[in-house]
Amino acid sequence: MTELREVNLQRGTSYMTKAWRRFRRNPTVIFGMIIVLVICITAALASIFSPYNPKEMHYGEVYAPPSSKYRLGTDELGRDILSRIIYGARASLLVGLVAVSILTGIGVVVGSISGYAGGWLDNILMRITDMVMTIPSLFLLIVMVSIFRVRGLHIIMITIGLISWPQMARVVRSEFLSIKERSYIEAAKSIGSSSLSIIFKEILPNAIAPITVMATLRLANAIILEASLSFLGLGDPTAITWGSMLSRGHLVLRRAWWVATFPGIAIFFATLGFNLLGDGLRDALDVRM
Amino acid sequence: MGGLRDYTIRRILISIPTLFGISILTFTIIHLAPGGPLRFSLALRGNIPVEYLLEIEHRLGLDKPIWMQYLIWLKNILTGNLGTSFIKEVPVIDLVSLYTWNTIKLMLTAQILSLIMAIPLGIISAVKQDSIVDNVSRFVSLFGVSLPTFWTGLMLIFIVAVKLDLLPVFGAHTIGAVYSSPIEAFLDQLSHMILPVVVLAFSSAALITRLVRSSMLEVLRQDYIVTARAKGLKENIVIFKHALRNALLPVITVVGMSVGFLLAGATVTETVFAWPGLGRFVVMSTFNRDYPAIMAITMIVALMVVLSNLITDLVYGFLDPRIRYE
Amino acid sequence: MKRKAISIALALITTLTVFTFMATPLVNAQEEKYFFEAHILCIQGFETHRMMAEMVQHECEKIGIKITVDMVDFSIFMDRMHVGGDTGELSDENGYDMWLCQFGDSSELDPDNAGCLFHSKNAYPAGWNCEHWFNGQFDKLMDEAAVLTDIETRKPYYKQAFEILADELPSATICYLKDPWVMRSNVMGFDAVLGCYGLGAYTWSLEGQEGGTVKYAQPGSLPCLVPAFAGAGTTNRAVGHTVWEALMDYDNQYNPVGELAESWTVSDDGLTWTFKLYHDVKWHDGEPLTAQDVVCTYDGVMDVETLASTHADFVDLVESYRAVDDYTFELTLTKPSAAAWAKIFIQEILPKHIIGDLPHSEWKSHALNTKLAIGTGPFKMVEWKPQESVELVVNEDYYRGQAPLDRVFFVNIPDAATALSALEKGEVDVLDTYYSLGKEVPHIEANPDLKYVLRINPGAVHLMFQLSNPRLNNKWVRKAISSCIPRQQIVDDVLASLGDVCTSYIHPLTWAYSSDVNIPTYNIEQAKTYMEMAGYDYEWLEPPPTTPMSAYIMPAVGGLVAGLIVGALAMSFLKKQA
Repeated sequence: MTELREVNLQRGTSYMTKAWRRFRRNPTVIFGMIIVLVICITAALASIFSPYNPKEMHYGEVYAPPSSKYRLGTDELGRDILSRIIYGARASLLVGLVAVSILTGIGVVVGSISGYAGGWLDNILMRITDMVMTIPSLFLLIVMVSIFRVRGLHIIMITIGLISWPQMARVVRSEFLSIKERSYIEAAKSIGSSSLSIIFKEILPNAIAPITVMATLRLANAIILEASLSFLGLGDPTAITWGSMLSRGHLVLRRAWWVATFPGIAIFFATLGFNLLGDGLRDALDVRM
Repeated sequence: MGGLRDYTIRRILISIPTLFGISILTFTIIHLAPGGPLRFSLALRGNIPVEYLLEIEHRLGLDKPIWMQYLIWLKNILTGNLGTSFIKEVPVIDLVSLYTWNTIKLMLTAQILSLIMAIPLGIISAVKQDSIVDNVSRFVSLFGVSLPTFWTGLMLIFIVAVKLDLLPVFGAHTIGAVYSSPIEAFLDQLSHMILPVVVLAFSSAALITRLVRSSMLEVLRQDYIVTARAKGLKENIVIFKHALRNALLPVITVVGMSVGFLLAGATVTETVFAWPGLGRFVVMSTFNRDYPAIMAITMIVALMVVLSNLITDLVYGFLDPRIRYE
Repeated sequence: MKRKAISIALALITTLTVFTFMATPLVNAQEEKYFFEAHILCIQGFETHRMMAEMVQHECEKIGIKITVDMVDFSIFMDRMHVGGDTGELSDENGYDMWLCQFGDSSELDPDNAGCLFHSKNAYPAGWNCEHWFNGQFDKLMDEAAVLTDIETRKPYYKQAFEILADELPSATICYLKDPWVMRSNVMGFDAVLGCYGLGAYTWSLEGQEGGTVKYAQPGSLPCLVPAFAGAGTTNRAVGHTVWEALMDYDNQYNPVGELAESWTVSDDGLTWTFKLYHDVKWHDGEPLTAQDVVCTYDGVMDVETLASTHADFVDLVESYRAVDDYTFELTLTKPSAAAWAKIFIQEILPKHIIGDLPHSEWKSHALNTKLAIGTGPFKMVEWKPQESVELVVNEDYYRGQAPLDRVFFVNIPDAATALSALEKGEVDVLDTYYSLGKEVPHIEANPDLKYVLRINPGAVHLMFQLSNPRLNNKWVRKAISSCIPRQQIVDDVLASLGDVCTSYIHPLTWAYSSDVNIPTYNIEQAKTYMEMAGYDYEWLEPPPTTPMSAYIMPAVGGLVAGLIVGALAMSFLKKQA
C-alpha cells in the first residue's frame, strides 16, 4: 500500500512543477546567466544591433540628449552612446575573458603543483604567491601598465591577468590539499598511475567547481579594474570601453548625465551578472570557498 | 604557549624574504619602464644639452647596472635613507610620512566601520536565511561589490556635499582655517573624513558581509552544531559560543588581507576626494617615473600588508591551536 | 538536470565569445582598405588633444589614410621625441610619425619664438625642431628679421617666412584655445589676458571687501619652489611673480615692463642693457635687494651644475654682465635680439645672502627650494604642504604698495569634477584654466554665484609631421592631411567655441600676423586632389568592400565547435562531482 501511494505522488508532479521548484530554490544562477548571455550576444552580434557606427562623429550634435534619433544621447564628439555601449560590451567581455584565461592558467598550474607536490616546492610557490598578493592590485597594475610604450587594451588585459592569479592559485591549492588525502587517490597511486594522470583524471575534475566560481568572480573584478584604470587616466583612451566612457562623462555629469550614467549602468549589470553567476554556481555546486 | 611562540617566530622569519622579494620585484618592474625619470623631470625644465643629461644620470647613479643600483638602494634603506625624490627635490621620507598617516587614518576608520556593519549583518543573514533581512543584505552587498568606488564617491560628493550641503567636498581639512580650539580642529578633520571613509567602508563591508554569511552557513551545517541543538542548548549559546568562533576564522584571514584591498580602493578614493594620501602619490610618482618615491611607497605598503598578515596569522593561531603545529 | 542546464549555458557562452573573438578581426580587416598607415602621438591626460586626434583620424579615413592614435604618458612621449628628433625613427621603431601638441605660451606672441620652431638652428636637441625639415630660405628670413628692431621693417620678412611654412607645411596648425578661468562672482582682478607669465595675484581683490582670502585650485602640484628648477609649468606660476620677482615682466599685451627694474636703457647697437633697480626693495626676511643678488642669480644660471631650466638660453645669449653699483646692473648680449629680453630678463632673482655661499649644485636641495621660498614679491610664503597647498600672506612692506588681498592659497585638486563641486560650494574661489572647463560655460553663465574670464592662449595646437617618414615627406600628402582637419568643427565641438581657427603660424592679435597666408582649409574633395597630386590613385581604393555574410561562417563554425567541446567537458566533469 505504501508503495502505491509513493508512486502516485511521483506521477502527480509534472515537469513544470519540478522546474519551478528548482528555480525558486536557486533563482540567482538563472538571473546571472541571463545577464551574462545578454552581454555575450550583444558583444558577438554588435554590428547587427548597433544603430550607428560607434566611431562616427556627428559634428554639431555634441552632447545631444536622448531622443528618438540617438536613443541614449551622444558623447563629447557627437558619437552615439547606444552604439558605443553595445561595442563596449565586446571590449569588456574580451578584457574579462583574456584576463581570466591568463589568471586561470597560471593559477591552476601554480596551485596544482603546490598542492600536489608539497614540501619545499609548495613553500617557495606559496611565498611567491604571497608576494604578488601582498602588493595591492591597483598599485601593481598602475606600475606595470606604465612599463609599456603605448597604452593598449591588450596590454591592460594581460596585466590584469598577471596580477590576479594568486587568489586562484590559493583556491586550487586548498582543493588539492583536501582531495589529495582521499582514498581513491591512494588507490590510483597504488595501481601505479603517474602523477600527471592522477592530477588530470582524478583531482582536477573535482576541482573544476571552485575554479569556475573563482573565475566568474575574477571576471567581474577585471571589468571593474579596467574601469578604475580608465578613471585614473591610465587606461586605453582610444578603445571603446565602458570605463573610459564613464571617466570622460563624469565631468559633465550635471549637464549631460547620459554620457556617464548609461555606461555606469552597463558596468554595474555586467559585474552583477558575473557575480550572481559565480554565487549561484557556488550554491548549486555546493562549493566551499 | 611554547607552540605559539615558535609559531610567531616562524611567521616573522618568513615575512622577511617576502619583503625582499617584493622590493626586487618592484625595482625590476619600474626600471623596465621606458623613458626614465630624467627625460620627464628635465624636459619640464627646458632644453638641456645631451652631455649634460648623461652627466646628471651619472651623478644620480642611473648609469650603473640595475643590480648595482638595487644594492645601493638596499644599503641606503637599511641605514634609514629613503632617498630624495627626483621631482620634488625633497627627501622622500618627509613626503611619505605625512601621506602614510593620512592614508592610515582613512583605512583604519573604514575597516573598523565596515567590520561593525558587516559582522552582525552577516550573522543575522546566515541565522535567518532567506528572510527579508537576508535578502536585503545580499542585495545591498552585491551592489557594493559591483559598483566601482569612484562612481560611488562622485555620486556621494554630488548628492551629499553639493546638493544637500552637509559635508565638505575635498581634502583632509579646510584650507586656511584657523581653529579656536583643538576640538574644532578635530571636528573639521572628522567632517572631511566622513565621505571617503563611507565610500571605502561600503565596498569593504559588502565583501565581508558575504564572507561572514557563507562562512556562518557552512559552520551551522556542521555536526557539532546539530548536536548542540539536540542537546537542548539555547539558540544564543549555540550561535555565539560554538558557531561564531569557528565561523570567524576565515573572516579573520580575509580581514587581514583586506588591507591590500583597502589600499587599492584608497587610490581611487583619494583621487576623487583630493585626499593627500599614498594612493594619489603613487599614481603621480609612477607617472613621473620618480623611482625613489615609488620604491619607498611600495616598501611601506608592503610592510603594512605584511604586518597585518602577521597579526592576522597570530590571532588565527591563538584561536585555532591546530595551526600552530603546521 | 541542473548539470545539463549549467553545461548548456556554459557551452552557449563559449560559442558566442569564441565567435566574437574570431569575427572581430576578420570583419575589421574586410572593411578596411587604405593607402598607408601612420600614427599620431599624443600626451596622456590631454583630453582635448585626444579628441582632436580622433577627429583627424576619422577624417583621414575618408581619403584613404589609416591613422592610429597613440596616447602615451609624458615620460614616454619625451623619450620618443628624443629618438625621433635625433635619428628620425618612426612610430614603429620608437620615434613618431606625427604628433599633436600645443605649443608655447606667451612666447608664441613674438614671431621670433613662434616661427623659430622650424629654424634649423633649433634642430633637436638644441631646440624643438624634431621634424627634420630645413629650409635655407626660411632660415635666412628669420635670421635677418631677428636682428632688426623696428616692427614695420620686420613684418614683411615674417610674412614671407610664414608663407613658406604654409606652402611646405612641416606642421599643420589647428586652432588657438581660449581657456576660461572659472571663479566666484566676487573675485576681481582677472584680465582677459593675452598670455601672461605670472598669475597676477597682485591685482586680485574681493568685491566689496577689504583684504580677504582667495583660494586658487590647480590640478597639478608644485614640484619645488624656485621656478628656475621647476620649469615653466603652469603650477609654478603660483609662486612666480607672487613670491619671486625678476628684472622685467610682461604686461597683458606682451610688452616689457620693469619689475625690480625702475628703468632701463639699451645701447645703440642693441647689445648692452643697463638696469636701474628700485632702491627700497626688501627680501621677505628683511634684507635689502641689491645688484649683487642679480649677479649671484645669473652666475648660478650660467653654471651647468645648477641645473637651471633657462641655462641653455643664457649660454646662448649672454656675453657678460656686472653690477655697476648697488642698484645698477648691466648685461651685454652675444648678438642683438629683439626677443632676448623675454628669455633672460624674466629670470627670477634669488637671495645672495641665503644661497650665495653654497656651491651651485646644492642650490636645488636647499630649503629655499624645498621648504620655504624667500623672495621680494607682493606675497610672502607661509607654508608649503607638498601636493596639498601653498599658503601665501601679503607682504606689507612691498615697495610698490601692498596688494589688496590678505591671504592667497594655491590648492591642489586633481579631479576636475571635484574642483567644480568645491567651487560651487565656496570651498575654493578660482579654478585654473588647466581644468579645461570650456564645456561648462553655459552652466556657469546660468549660475549667479559664478563667472568666468577667458584667457587667450597664443600658443597654437600643431600637428607636427616627421619628415623622415617617406610617406609624409611628400608635401602634397601633408597638404592633404591638413585639408582633412575639420578646424571649425574642432573649435565648435571640442572647445565649445572657446577658440579660434588657425589661419597662419602666429596669433591674429600679434603685430606679425598677416591674413593672406594660405593655410589649407577643411575640404575633403581638395584633400583627395592633393593625394592624387602626390601620386595616389583613388580608383584602386574604390569601392570600399562590404563584409559578405560568408565572412561570418568560419567564426560561427569555430564558435559552435568550441561550445560543443566545453559543453561536453562540463557534462563529464560535473558528473564526477555527483
